[in-house]
Amino acid sequence: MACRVQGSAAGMGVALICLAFAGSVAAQGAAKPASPDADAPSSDPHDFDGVWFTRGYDRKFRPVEGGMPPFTEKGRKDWERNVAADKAGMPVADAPTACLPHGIPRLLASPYPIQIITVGNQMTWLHEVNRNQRFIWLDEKHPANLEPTYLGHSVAHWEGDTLVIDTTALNDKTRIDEEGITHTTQLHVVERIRKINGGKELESLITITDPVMFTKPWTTKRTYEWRPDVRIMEYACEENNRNAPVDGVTRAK
Amino acid sequence: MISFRMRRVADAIFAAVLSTLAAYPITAATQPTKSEDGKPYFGGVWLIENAPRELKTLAGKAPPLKPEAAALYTKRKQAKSADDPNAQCLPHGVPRLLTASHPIQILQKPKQISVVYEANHQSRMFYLNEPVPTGDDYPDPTYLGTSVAHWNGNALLVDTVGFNDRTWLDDSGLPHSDALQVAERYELAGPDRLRVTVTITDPKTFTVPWQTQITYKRQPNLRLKEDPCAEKLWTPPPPT
Repeated sequence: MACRVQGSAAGMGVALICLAFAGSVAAQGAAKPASPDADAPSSDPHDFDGVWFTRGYDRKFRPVEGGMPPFTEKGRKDWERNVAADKAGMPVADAPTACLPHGIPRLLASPYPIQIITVGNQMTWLHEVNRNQRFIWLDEKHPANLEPTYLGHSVAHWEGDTLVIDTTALNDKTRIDEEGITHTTQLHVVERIRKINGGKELESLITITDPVMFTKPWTTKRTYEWRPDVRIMEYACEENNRNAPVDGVTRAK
Repeated sequence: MISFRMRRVADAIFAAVLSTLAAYPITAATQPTKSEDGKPYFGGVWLIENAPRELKTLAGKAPPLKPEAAALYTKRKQAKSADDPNAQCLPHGVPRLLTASHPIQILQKPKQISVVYEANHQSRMFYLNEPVPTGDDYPDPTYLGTSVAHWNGNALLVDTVGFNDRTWLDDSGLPHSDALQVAERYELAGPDRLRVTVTITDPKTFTVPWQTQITYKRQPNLRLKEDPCAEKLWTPPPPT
């Protein structure tokens, strides 16, 4: 079983994630040194292509200004139930436990690398974790009458050097974060992403709107590090999934 | 003559359209039709023509199985695919993944060609102009193996090694071992047709290497969808 560990502080959390949610990861194949000309990130602020890796790991999304998300009564009740179930050792199963896509925004916190490949007006995010595939359409509008999916429908446009990704049509089978903040199909996520630190990092401000769970929109943040030394490995969640849910509870076998 | 009121409505509509355009400048369909490096362009969405359930050789014959492998193949067929690893939503393996009836998308760049498969959200990365791993670099076994590629004239040659033995070569249960090596030759057979000639080498399973062929048709108006295979294996917790 291959678990990615990034940084000693994050190590414990990452190892836990591998045990709790990865099932088994069969891989390690494609680790190769970076090509020699890849020692500097692209100087084009609109070129996000490459492999990116969450800096640090935090299983909770919290507002950038601190404190708790602006829960409605329903949102707080759901979150409290999920946290209590975790503490009782009976975690409520959610989609990634069953090897289903993580959902947006939860996917954005995952401690596994992401390769971004842009072709024409299509930006493809290949996430190592559970092989999540995300397609983002530049300068397009959301079509009408979309069927909800795990990762929703994403369109984007540039505001200066910030890419603004708008995601809608999300189903309600996933969570906002791994800890247990929930959402409905009214969830709407806007990511504002730009290169910082000379292009070596992507900073993403993630604004979450769901009138059923939150009294107002709130914004959380993630930073990703440019990692030319990393290649996306195979991730086979379904193999020997020792944490497959039983009657809605995640049970370690 | 339009009334003042109609004029106001028209202005409001015009302003709304303008503001939309400002936020989302609509450009023409912006998918490239050429490669960045002058190579033949395989980029775009493709759909298999005549997805085979059973792979055959180029001459239309049964693959040259060794006796033990032939016995295993017969057993799987008699069991009517009851032990099909795909039923557990595991990665398909190669070349089975090439035979899936879902669309695929090729993302072509000079140093890396990636194939995104809609089926069970899989993808393969072909790293250009790198040696086939051997010795200490030989990769740990995986379902889809590790791939390198290089151009030979107008053909892209892909070599894949480092497979585990947990997949089937096709939907019918054609077996293979961990000694499997797969070579793929991608070439255009017409402007909107992609032909892949697959050479399968596995001395533990087959008496000699053999070849098969798969073709795809370009789908300029198709986009890949989400295929959450594991959904059929899961009962969500009851709503609260």
